[in-house]
Amino acid sequence: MMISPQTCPICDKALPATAAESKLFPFCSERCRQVDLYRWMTGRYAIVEPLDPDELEGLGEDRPVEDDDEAGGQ
Amino acid sequence: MNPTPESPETQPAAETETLMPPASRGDYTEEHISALPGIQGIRKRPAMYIGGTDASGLHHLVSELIDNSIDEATAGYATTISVRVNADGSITAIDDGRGIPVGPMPTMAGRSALEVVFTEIHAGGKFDRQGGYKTGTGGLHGVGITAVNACSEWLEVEVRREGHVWTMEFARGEMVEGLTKLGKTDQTGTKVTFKPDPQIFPETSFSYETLHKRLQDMAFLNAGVRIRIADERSGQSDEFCYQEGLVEFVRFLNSTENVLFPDVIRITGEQDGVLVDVAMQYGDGYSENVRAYANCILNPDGGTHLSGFKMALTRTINNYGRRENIFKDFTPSGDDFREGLTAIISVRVPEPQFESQTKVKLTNADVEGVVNSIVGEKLSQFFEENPSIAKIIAQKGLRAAEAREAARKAREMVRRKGALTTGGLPEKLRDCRSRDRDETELYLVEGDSAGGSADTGRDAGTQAILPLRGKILNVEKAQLVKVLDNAEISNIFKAIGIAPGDTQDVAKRRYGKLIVMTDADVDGSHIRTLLLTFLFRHMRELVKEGCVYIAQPPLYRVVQKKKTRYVQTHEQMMQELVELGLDGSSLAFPDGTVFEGEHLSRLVEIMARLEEPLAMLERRGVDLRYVSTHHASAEGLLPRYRVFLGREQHWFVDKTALDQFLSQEQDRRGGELKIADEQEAHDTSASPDGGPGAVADRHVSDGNGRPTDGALQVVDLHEIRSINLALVDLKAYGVTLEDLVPRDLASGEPAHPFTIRHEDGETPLTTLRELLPSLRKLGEKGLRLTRFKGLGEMDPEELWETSMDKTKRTLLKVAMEDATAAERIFRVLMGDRVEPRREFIEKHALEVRDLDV
Repeated sequence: MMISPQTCPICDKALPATAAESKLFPFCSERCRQVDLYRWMTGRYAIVEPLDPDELEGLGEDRPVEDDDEAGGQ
Repeated sequence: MNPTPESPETQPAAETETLMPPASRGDYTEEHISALPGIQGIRKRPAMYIGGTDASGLHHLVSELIDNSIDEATAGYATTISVRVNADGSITAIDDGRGIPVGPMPTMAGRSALEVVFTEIHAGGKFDRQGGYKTGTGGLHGVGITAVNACSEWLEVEVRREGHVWTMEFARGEMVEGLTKLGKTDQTGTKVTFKPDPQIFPETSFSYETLHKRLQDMAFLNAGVRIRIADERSGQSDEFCYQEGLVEFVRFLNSTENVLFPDVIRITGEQDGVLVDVAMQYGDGYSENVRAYANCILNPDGGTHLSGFKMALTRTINNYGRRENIFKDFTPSGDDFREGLTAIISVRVPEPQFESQTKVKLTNADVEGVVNSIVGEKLSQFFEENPSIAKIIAQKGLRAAEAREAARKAREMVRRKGALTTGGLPEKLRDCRSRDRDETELYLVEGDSAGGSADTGRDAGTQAILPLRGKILNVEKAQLVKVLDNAEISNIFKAIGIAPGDTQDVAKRRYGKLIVMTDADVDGSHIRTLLLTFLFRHMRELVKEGCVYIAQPPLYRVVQKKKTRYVQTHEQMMQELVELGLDGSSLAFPDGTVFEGEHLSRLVEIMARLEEPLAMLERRGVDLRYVSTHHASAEGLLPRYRVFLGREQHWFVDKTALDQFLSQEQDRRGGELKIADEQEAHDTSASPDGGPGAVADRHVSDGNGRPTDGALQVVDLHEIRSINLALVDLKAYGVTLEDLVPRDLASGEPAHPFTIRHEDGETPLTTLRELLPSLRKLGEKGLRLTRFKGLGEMDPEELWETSMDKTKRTLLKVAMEDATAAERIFRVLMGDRVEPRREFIEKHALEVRDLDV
């Protein structure tokens, strides 16, 4: 997979190798955990349907990914 | 140190070893009396002058001395300042400035200026601008050095100036040795040694670390000034000298941070005689490290310079973010813009006013406006010139605002005392009767109607149902976005009975098993990915303990001769149909060869491997007939790389051939080939040269769908790998590429070189690619297939039988790795980074079709 699991889903900070034992995992901090929870609770997470084969051709097109790019787990 | 404006020339030649004011030693006269109130006043109430008699007050004494030396350096008279903690605990501070004047002062009854400086408050050089100081450190009231003297058990000063070394000694603020001339020197400078008075300070031991920190700060604030520190007690020593001043200060403070951009932003300016110097940089942390100095004195409580800076920062970033449309969802506050910020604000003010002698806060009202306008103007200019950094800063603020909002919500939830868990069970929950975790299960079911069926079909004793609405939003035509409805998340917490942040306490969960039941289609797999990601992130212990399962509802119902069975996946169904179709069938080749039985099965297997990759290739707009006719290799394999070079198109079988071509082209053109920009590079479906079926280019092009500027595009057709592997295997059966594309028309009629023979007759095929679909069609005979569009299409009995009956169902236990994988897929599918996703989808288009996590 091309995205390492060892980064915080919110701030993308690299996590130390021992992070998996932390009770905050996969987050780097309580704060990022809170932000993530907040995004779930406010319905800001979405999966875009890109999978219909007939639409694959459209992938080269510049298309809006989501209503709101901040909803992305960057 | 605090030289008086008096010119040394006015001083009489001093032959005697001491040079005393008219009231000579031993005499107790009015002049002495007048000096005492100052000294006694300080000794009586030291806190008023040095902030206290604790460690902070003690170290403040050194600061007062250093401030005076720094003034000399700032004015350009001193280059090096040394501070030494002596073995006996006293402090020696040396500078190479001009030296404090020593001559007699007519206005002070002819007393030596040196004595006046050390014994009189409000005596000092900085009251007169002609004294050489424009603006310097904060020691402007002429109190500092007198206070040091007053608080010292003893103090010795040695001044080098006018060719001589002069000394004077004090005890508890009173002069005990008058001005003494020691000998000749061509140097200048001032050296003060003092021992803090134990009558005033309960603790008189200096900390090297504290002094080190303070002196280093001073070196940062005064670019180019060399400051040394040594401790005779421990042998430690350091030297600081920073040519870049504040920029190096910020770098130093950020040395352990991950900075968001490499360069430190520097702002300098002068207005109304106030010099403003600011350096700032953001890190990825959350704390704010902003320090304000006025005339080199740290003002821990800030003041007008800090408030001016904050105003300018907030206004400038806000303007930028609003203009660039970055602040749509949240309006960041000033605090948000200072998250992760390291900044030094240093002002030099001609007449600084502080809240107290310890200078915790700058109060000059005019400074606020000056700093505000200089920082505002220069920072906007910087943003214009560095839009990428400006964007980073604005987004950092936005994220901070979001985090603040998130934290507020979290606090609210705590205040409403467990609103998430104990606020009653969710209305939608259909609870079970048993409370025995060994047997209870909670089904998280996608969709209300499926929830209804599950409710009717379940074993109400041990199975609870929580329907979840996976909301599907139609964002733009043909683009579906799936989200979990806002309320669903809190319903999950409530039903399970574990509060967010309390993830460790698995034992408190209300059910033994947590079973995710979603539709067997792609939508369902997305909702499942969402759910697993959520559980992985916020209820990880449940996954770790192995409490989470996935139900496996079927996708197909198959009725054959009144017997009903269920098939889980599309692949399985297709496979089964092919097998049914194979039963009793044989395949005739044009040369008369007939395949049947095992032989035919193996051919079918290979053809099955070709189905998806060929479809993928055609989705790219590559025509199979075109490439197999014109670009197949001698071995009958397809080219893996497609290259556009300006108007030309080339195809290459492997990397070696590609590289060879590229290096030849480079040699021929004499230089690196220009790579087409990303947008074009990804629009690989766009060339009509790929044959019929290609889509018209949407981008700027020469009208033939290719970039116009002779740029290079290399397209790796990775599905060719699988195709070629299968082609190699097909060879063993005498099947070649030609058998996969329709033959030329024979006398106007499509040719049918292949024939399937079966019980009911014959089915002619134009190409071998029709083999599988035809077999499936044959296999479907006598069956009634129903493809469930969702769980909701199953009746309660069906749902019970296939997915809930403990004796019949199959559950997949979610392992940590599964949840991790789901999380990764989630990041890709929902992420804002279009690039990896596009890549992901292209590479995994086949698997993703039936994303199984």
